[in-house]
Amino acid sequence: MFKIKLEQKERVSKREDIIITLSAIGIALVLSGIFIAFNGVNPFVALWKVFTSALGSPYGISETLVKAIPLIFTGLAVGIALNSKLWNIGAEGQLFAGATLATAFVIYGPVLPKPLELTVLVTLGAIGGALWAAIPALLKIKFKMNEVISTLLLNYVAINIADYFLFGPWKGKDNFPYTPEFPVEARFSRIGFGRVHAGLFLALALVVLLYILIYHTKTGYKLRMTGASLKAAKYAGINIKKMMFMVFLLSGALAGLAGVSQISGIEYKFHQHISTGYGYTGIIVAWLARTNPFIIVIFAVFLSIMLKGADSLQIAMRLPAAVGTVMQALILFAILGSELFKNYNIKLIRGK
Amino acid sequence: MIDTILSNIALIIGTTLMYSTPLIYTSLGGVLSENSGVINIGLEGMMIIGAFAGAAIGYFVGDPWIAFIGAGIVGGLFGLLHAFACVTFGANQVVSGIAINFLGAGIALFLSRMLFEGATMTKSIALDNKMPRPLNGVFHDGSFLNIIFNNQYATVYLAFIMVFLIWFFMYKTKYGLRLRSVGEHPTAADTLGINVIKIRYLAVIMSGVFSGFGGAAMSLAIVSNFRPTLVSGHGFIALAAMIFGKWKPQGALLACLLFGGAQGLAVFLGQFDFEISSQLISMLPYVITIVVLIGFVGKSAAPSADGIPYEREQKN
Repeated sequence: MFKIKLEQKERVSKREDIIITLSAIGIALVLSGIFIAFNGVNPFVALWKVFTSALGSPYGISETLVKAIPLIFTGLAVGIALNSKLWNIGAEGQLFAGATLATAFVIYGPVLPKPLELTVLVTLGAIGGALWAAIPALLKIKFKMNEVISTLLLNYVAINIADYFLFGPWKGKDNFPYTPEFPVEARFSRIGFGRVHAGLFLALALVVLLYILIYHTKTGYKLRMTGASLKAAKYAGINIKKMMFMVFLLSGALAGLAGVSQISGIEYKFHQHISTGYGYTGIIVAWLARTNPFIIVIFAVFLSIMLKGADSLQIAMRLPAAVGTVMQALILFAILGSELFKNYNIKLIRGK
Repeated sequence: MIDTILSNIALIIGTTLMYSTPLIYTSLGGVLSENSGVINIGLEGMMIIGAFAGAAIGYFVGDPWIAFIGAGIVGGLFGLLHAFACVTFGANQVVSGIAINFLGAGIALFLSRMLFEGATMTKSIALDNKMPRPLNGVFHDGSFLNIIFNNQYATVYLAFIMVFLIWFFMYKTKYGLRLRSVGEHPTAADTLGINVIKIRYLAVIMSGVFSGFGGAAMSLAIVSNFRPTLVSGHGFIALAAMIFGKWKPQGALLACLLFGGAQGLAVFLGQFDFEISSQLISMLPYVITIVVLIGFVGKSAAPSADGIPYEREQKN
């Protein structure tokens, strides 16, 4: 008989960390392949299709980037909160809150010159998301309500509020639940590569800014300290409640920007399907990236390859696009499983 | 006048019972999992796959009870997965729950498209093959009791029986005591020879079974098919009910009746020609859940070891 023995590791080296993560992703792809094979489709052909459709042509690459933009925003949103061990599972709702507030300006406000109009929309999107995130923050600080449950429930409320406007005052001419098309002034410019829009630059600029904030400022140090140990942070005189509140506001603002980027960058109108679960996929992105903004970009692109690939599986192989959701779950499970190998040395020992 | 008021009250009680039922099953699942020390926000995903399994088996097999049990088994498999990740691998329980939610929604939608010619909705179960209504036609037509009970499905009564059984199990049997001790103080339980790992596995698997029942109580009784928007957040409301009910089955029951009542009220209001849009009414259950939680969350105590993976000390 063999017995498995776990020995706690002191720390995992960077190289080991990367190898384990990559193997976990590989395992997730194999599992996805098995899932696909159950449906009578050759898994190798299907996985090949996923990657070629996403990366095999300029069109594919541009569409993959289009999906990566909102994921960078939501990944940053969830990631910044994770830095201080706060769970923002409400990025989806904050995305809709941001989009709703920005749309309100497009509909009720004046049409300003483009740079001004876009500045207002981006600001309002951030404010909308931040306000929506302020609710779970206050509930946590004032009433000790766990943010996981409050952010989850608030997602449904935010989407219902958006629906209220879409089915009510903002209903389109033909009675369908979408707003009229935005004027040119309210649209992000395209950068000359498919549908990729200037939102990408905004996202990348925020990546750099957040990296500096987290790793090279006093505030960032306090932020990480709060995440590492609440006790130590308190002892060091950090105002934890204030810190949590600010983190939530920032997190919500980032998620709200994902909303603006979708309506002003891609859809040019507001409707129910501006997000295909970007708020939830952002959790995976942030979890995989371990909260480092630059790595968030890498995993945002990786997951957008999966999403784009799943879309084309639906068209080319008649597999439901839900295969993308299943793949995301498998990636999460594989990474979760791989944690064990990062934290422990696993030894097989002979004996009973 | 009094008759109208009475029949309206009966109607509200009736819809409350109906909408509470899926929540009751699922929150019982939450009670079992979290009392053993494993946080389960995957209740939503387990409920979704249960609702799908119930509707699909119900459509193809035709027997509601086989469908109901099938939904429980499928939910249990998802529970097994959550247990595997959280107990064996000591994984982050919130993330595993999120993964379960992705998986439940993804597989349900995927299989629905495969089995029902590309439709995201399953085909409706024939009326005769839905859950039976035991008290249908028992009371005088139009009477108070008739309005409440005439259209209640068997799942409603079964839910109350389950609450009693789980309560009895948890507080009156030695196995229940073991379950609670594992959630409160796993190290001490281990010292006393209780198999922490095994108990957590069983509890999390059963939480999946009950969530599966909860989903099926929607798709086999309240409506007669599965659609992607059917569950939308009810697993999370059930989770909130468990918290509000202080991690106890009887408390969870009362909380579910309250939240189910909110939904019943929303449906009741929906029948009038108000100027309120249906979207605003349908967000009521979530808002009420949050508001109700505000007053209680700080006071209620979770099991001490809830959310902490158990690692056995090295014995050399």
